[in-house]
Amino acid sequence: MPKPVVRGVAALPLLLVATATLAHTGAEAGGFVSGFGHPVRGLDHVVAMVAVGLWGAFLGAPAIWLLPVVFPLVMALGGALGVIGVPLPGVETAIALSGVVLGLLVAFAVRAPIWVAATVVGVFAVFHGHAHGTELPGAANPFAYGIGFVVATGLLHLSGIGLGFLAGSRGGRAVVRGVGGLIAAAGAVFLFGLA
Amino acid sequence: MRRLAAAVCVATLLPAAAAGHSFSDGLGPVGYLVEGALAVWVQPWLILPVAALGIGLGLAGRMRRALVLLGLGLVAGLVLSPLIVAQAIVAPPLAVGLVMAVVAALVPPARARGALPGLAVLTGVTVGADAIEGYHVIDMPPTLPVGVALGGLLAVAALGGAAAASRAWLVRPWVTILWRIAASWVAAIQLLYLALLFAP
Repeated sequence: MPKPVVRGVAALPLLLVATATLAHTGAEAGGFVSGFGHPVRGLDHVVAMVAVGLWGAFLGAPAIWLLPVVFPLVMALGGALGVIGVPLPGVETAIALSGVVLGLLVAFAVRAPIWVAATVVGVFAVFHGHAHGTELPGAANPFAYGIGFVVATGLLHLSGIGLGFLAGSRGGRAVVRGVGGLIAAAGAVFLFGLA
Repeated sequence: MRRLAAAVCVATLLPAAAAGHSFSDGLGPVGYLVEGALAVWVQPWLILPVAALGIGLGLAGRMRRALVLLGLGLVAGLVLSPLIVAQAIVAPPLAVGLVMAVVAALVPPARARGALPGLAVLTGVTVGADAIEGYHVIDMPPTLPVGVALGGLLAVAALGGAAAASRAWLVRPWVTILWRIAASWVAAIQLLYLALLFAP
């Protein structure tokens, strides 16, 4: 018998050795990982967050830093409303609509004044935050959950900004606008309940 | 800015849920020094305001003056702790830290400089008072309150120094952007923490 095969057969009993369990131990449930995963796993959140970064990069200074700064602050405000139980109508619709609107703003390279951009982003941020906030008090470790979703949201913005730097060249600009169109289409899929 | 300061003062008086932290017995002077520093570093409602102040100072400058004021505030908070708090309460330092983080994230450094001395003192008073949970400082091992003060000062100096140094070495706009984004994250986390305190 060739040596590699012998080694393989000899190694088979190792498969029977018990190892530490990783999934669903309860230690991570409702903590940082859950909070981090909430915006990342929900595609409706992802497209909107990336669009915020993209639009900020597209608009240039001061929007490039103002939008990703405004969003977490206002999102936390929406999250606080959710935590203390203040109802907000149409949260899911508004989240889906945010993908459509922000995607279209990027696709059509809309150059809005900074206060308009901050207001648009801020309004949508309230709904995104509320969706996270309503889940927060029930989490096993609400504080860690809160840190997780704030950090994940911020990282999605930064990835959008990174992608938005492509807009510096003519070809890159077309790519960024194309991504904006895809984001708007994804938002429409959620808005009309197709996904 | 005066209204902002008044709002912060009112927020510091709000009662909130107690959060326990018991100090250890039988530690040596160095052990108590570390215990005091850790009281600031490991408790989220104390390190978050300190982090916010550090970022704010790193962006706006005038670090030395603010560190002196922070130190005075910490001493005042430690001495006045029995009068200010009956036990560890979370809201006052978080309220001050929230304002500081919002200022660091949104207000241009030149304008923020005016608010920093007051916010440094308020951060010191609330963090110092809260760290020793209303105990009389004279009843404690001497190095414990010293550890609290050093822990606060070191954290602010380290974070502020990192922010200032990164901006000085990498003279790029995105460095400042990243620090402002970090400040907005710190603000968002503190706001959510405050909301959790008042959740039904």
